[in-house]
Amino acid sequence: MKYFQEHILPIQNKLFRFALRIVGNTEEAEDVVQEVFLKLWRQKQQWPNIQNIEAWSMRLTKNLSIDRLRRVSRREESLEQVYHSPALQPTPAQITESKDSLEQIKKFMEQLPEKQRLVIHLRDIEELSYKEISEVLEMPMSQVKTNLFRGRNALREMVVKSEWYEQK
Amino acid sequence: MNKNEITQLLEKYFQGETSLAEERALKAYFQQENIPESLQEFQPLFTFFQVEKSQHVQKELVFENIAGPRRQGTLVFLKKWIPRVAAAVLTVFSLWTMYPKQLPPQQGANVDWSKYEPENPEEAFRITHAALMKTSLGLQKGTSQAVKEMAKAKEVWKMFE
Repeated sequence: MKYFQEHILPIQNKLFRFALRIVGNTEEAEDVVQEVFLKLWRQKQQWPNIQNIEAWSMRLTKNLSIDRLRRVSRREESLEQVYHSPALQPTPAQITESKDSLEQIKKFMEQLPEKQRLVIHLRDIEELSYKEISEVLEMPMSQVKTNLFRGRNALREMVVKSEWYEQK
Repeated sequence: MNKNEITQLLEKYFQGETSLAEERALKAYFQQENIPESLQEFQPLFTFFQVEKSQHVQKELVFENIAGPRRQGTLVFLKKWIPRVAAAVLTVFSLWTMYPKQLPPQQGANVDWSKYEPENPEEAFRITHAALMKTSLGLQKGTSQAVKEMAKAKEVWKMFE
């Protein structure tokens, strides 16, 4: 219990944000964190063998979030629509209407492919090292860097484009 | 950091070549109010990262649900064992009250039992026969008493039907 309180409980917000990035819904993200905690608790015999409990927990969060997404298969469909629907690309009118620039960035993030979105989340929000990201997402470090590069540049393009529309 | 340094760092950031420390420096820079106009477009991006990091779990049920089953486990354990222990105590108490207390050892009873020993097989047979007859009568009496009690119980049972 002490180990749980000292090492796992303090990262609950980090796990929540990561789950939220994937499932896109606060309640579902909280349910995922709950599920992660229960799973971790049941695996307590393995704790001494786990080198990085944080990366382990994050990976579990990712897997459970994706499972939840697949079960519900709601967000994938909507994301597909978001990504391909021309109506949801930022138009001058929409940008003028959108006064909240942070909300706009959030929408840009949601438009990124999942891998890029998750790499950016782990690096730019959670400040994880490339190695940790590689462990959490179970992808080679080269792919982590590629996704980060592409994701950041996609965001840059969207930001610059939106600025350009605003100036017009 | 001046504008040129930030511009270079920003370029490095978009190339995915910045360290965590440099990225933190960029976030800190964009938290300022007086940012050159040419860099202002990126301010929401870095602010977004900071704001997102402040999000947290709103429910307080996470830890309770973990600790919950543990408490329930203790309760289940007690529920399981309390009746067993109580039953054992009750059985021991019942046996103790039902059985006659052990009589204190007799003191000073100097009986010469050799006088009562049967002296021939006929006498031994007669004594044994008499003892068995007495036991048999006792058993018969017990059976008839049991029959009587059963009849009473049937009467009582009829009242509930």
